[in-house]
Amino acid sequence: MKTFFSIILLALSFSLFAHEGGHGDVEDGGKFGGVLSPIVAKSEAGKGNKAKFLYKAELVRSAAGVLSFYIFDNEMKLMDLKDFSPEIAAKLEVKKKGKFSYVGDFKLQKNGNHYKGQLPKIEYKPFNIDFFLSHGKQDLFVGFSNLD
Amino acid sequence: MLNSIIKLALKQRLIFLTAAIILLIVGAWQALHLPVDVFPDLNRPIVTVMTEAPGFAPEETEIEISLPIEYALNGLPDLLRLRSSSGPGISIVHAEFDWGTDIYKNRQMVAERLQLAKEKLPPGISPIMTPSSSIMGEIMFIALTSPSGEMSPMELRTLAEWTVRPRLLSISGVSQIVTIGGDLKQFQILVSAEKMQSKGLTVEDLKHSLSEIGLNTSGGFINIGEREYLIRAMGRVESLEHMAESYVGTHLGNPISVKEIAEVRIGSHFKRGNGSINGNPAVVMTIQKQPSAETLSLTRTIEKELKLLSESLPNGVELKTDLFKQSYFIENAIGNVSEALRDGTIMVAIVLMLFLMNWRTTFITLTAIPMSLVLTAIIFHFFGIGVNTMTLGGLAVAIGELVDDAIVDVENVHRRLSENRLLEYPSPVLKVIYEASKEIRNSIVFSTLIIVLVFLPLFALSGLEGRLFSPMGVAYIISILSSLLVSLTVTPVLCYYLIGKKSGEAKVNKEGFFVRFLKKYAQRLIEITLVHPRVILIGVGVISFIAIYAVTFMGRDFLPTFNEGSATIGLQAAPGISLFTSNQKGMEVEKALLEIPEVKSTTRRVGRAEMDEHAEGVSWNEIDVDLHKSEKSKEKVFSQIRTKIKEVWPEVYVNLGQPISHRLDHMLSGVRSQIALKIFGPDIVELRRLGGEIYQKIKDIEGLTDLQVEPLVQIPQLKIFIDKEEVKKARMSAGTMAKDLEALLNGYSVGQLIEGQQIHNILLRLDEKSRSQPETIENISLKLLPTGDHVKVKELGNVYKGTGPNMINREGLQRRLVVSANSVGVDLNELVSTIKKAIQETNLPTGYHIEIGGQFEGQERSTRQMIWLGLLSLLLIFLVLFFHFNSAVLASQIMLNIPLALIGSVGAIYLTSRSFSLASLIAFVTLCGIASRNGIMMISHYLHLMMEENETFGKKMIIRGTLERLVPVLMTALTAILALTPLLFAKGEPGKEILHPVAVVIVGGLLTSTLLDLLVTPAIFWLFGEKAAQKAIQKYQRSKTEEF
Repeated sequence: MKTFFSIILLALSFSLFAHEGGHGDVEDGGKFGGVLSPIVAKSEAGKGNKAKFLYKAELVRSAAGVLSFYIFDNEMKLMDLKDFSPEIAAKLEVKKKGKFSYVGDFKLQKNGNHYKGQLPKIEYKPFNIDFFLSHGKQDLFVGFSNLD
Repeated sequence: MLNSIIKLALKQRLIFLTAAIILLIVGAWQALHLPVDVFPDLNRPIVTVMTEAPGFAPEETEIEISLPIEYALNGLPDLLRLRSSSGPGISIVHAEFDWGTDIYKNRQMVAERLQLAKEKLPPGISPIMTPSSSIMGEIMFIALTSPSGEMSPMELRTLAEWTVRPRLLSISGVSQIVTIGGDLKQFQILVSAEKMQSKGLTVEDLKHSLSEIGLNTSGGFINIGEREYLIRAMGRVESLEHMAESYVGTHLGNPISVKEIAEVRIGSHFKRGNGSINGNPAVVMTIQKQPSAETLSLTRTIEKELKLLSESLPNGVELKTDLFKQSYFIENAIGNVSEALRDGTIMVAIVLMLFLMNWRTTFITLTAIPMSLVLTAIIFHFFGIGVNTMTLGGLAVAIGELVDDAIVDVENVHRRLSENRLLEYPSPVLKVIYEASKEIRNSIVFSTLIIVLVFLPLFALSGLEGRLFSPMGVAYIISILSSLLVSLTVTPVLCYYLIGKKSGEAKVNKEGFFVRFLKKYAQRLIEITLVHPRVILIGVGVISFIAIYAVTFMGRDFLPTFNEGSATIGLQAAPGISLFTSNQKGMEVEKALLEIPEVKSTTRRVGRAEMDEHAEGVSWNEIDVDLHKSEKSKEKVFSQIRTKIKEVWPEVYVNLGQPISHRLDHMLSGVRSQIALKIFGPDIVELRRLGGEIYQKIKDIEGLTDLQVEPLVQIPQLKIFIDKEEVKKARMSAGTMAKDLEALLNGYSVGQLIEGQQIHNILLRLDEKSRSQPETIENISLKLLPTGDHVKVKELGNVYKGTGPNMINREGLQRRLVVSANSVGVDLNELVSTIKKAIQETNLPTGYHIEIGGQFEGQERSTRQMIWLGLLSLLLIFLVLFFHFNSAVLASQIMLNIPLALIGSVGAIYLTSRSFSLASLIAFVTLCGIASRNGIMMISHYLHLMMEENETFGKKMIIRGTLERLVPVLMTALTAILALTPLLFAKGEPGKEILHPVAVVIVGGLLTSTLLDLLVTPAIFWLFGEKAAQKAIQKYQRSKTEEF
């Protein structure tokens, strides 16, 4: 029961950060052929482009739905993940009739120089993914929008 | 038979002499009329299938077009590789066939298979084969500009398309002219979505009414009275006004004309490319030649036509023709090699004069050069071989050896004639000449045979290297065989006329000072050698071993770098950049490049021209830079070019090379770089990820430059997701909706408007306002309901800004991504092994693999082949020597010259490039033949002295034999060496790039083999030759007894 409530609480807390900021347009391709988005402090997630960009994240999705998540510094040098959280929580939303709605969450695990995980099956396009991770004691947030 | 030839020539001397003069004239004429090109035919038969598919995304182009075509072509006979590129609206499939196959037969097979593939392609899509062209097909650029601005970009383009292009295409030998830049004229009907909606019109109405906007039809024939009439319905639109007034539908019972819902205008065809020269906008035309056309004469014909054209151009238009021309490089390269040939001949003449100190003997010997060259020209003409740097190079390498046979013959005839004159009862001159020629006939023929045999395995070299070096071998062999023929026919005849008929005074064969000097010191040296033969042999053995060991430490290169006098710069901006920005930045780079004093002109193409067989995106700029001749090295100029580009456009990826070298790389691996790491696998995203992983692993390797992951990246796309459920509710199919959107957003041709001889398309699509924003697209009406309500896009799906691949490349029916790089300042082989080590631990998912290609691929294959072919050559030499001497010991003694030659070759390479290229390896195999010649002449003479001149085996005989052969050995070696000096001191000069390392190896090898041969052959013959010599003499005596 305790776990159930924790999950519900966590799920609800996600909606606080949903699409108020941190997303913006998809940037240029990254070093691994994926899309880039800035990583900001979770506390600044609502500030949009005014939030301080701490790092950059690159998201690569294979045809089988395997997600690879790389973290770079602002000079686009691949970062060592040892101080980052062992896993990343992710929240998924799809656009239907012009509005985004929450459909579920999943997790990414550390895998060498990047995080790896499986994207749940999605019927609609486009969709957004919000990622929650931590670096040391700092909670971080990164959002990718208009994915398909 | 050979003796009969000498006898016949001397008997019919006047006829032979006349024939020689006639051959000289005919051959000289042929030589001047042989086709000229920079390289031999390096074309690999490639058939390119191009399919335009307007509106298709790369993924769709790949699956719906490239894939069916690839499957249809797969399995064709002699097909080596299938490559394809699928970009937005374009699919290009390259079918690469085996060398030597007939391109026209290949094209026919491809055409047959395309018929089958067509059934599987989407409706309205039809693939075409691009005209056959050659790897060095782009022979020149021309450009049309209007510096005063009097002519608009559209007028310039129209002039280029309808006046200049047809005139040039009518020239025999021109295969294709690709035009880029300016504005391609188009008649446009740009519909306002808002107005269309207000008039209650749907996409279906537009498609139906405007597809018949203007047609001319025929009603057949009728007879009126005694005359026959053709019935014609004249409905074709002839002006913008006609188009504007055309009927498009009905609203509230009133007819609606086009102008009420659309703007009708003349506009530019949608551009995916642009061009400029020297940083100013221009219409750039690339002229391509047919594979069989001769570049120099074709260029001259085009230039003549352009001169005529420029006289009739309108005011304010400039036709620029002083841009890149391949003929500049050809003329420069051929001129340089011809100079080397001329200078080599002068060197040979000097050596001959110095040694012979007799103008008559010098003249006879020198005659061998023009005679052999014209005979070669006649044979070239007969077999359709042209003049190029490689065939000329073969002649340049052979030039010193062309006189060898004649030297040996003349020297012997001269000596025998002098001895004869001292006799109390001299023999008839003709008999002396015949006997003297016969005496050395065997060693001449066998040594020539060895040189020819050594070269034969080189013809087994496959791929590009085979195509490049075979013509060199052909020229070398033909000229050497011609010189043998001359030495057996013309040389004895000239000896009779010039030195045989001299007054019969008994003049001692007086040697020149130089020869006497040489012999004096050579004798002292040989005497010392014969006292300590083992010390000499051990010393030479140790040095040979060191030389062989040193080879393993030397760098390796495939082909030397060319110096083409021009540069090709590829600029890859981040995909997703607009054509406008990419074009602007490209022009800025051009202007910056022109600040470099060595830069003469720049010609730039960005993106893709219509009919271009490359699927380049607008992020790709290609600048061809023509360079002034300069004292500055090519490397320095290139470094300045890199710096300038980085100053103007720091974030762009630069690939800097030279036009022909780039194309050679492209042909070798399908990639324009020296090293190509090809990653194969099914998922483009995973390929990109792996490309990134590999990039990270190798980016810091020293000597790696221009490192790039093929920019197959995600580019911005405006996507319309069609919700199947909602579309069904609107009583529509997703396919119809997609097609309607394609018609409105991308547009389509509804007819043609003819202006004089010019045919222009009429395009129908939405105007910019209606298609420029996601919001306006969302509001496009797709259907009118009976209620009067419109069904809009936003009700049936989502319009959003997403991403998608810019291009998908395939090779061998698999998706492929290339990580490419060039090497700088390091050995290519070593660099590749470092790369291999760095990537060996890459975790590849199932179904993925990596192949390493590029120049490296060719180098590995050719080195392997050359080692085997070299061993085969050595075996052939041994067999010929064994057959000649009937002794394995004597054959082995002669072959000792080969390690002696290796010492010099390795030393010479160490002093110059410190790198072994394929050309060095081939040169060394050639050297094996030339070096063996010295040993043959020496040991043959020892045997001759024992057999014919009653000498016994001993130091005295060896010293006499060596000294008597000293002059011909030194002369043949010196002529060969000095003839190559013009190539030796011409590193990097155009045309001599491949020939320089050949000269380095041969000169170095000949120097040591000749000098050490004078020490080693006497020593080894003294130590191990007695038994073998006695056996050979016994055999000779037995055969003589049998004759009687």
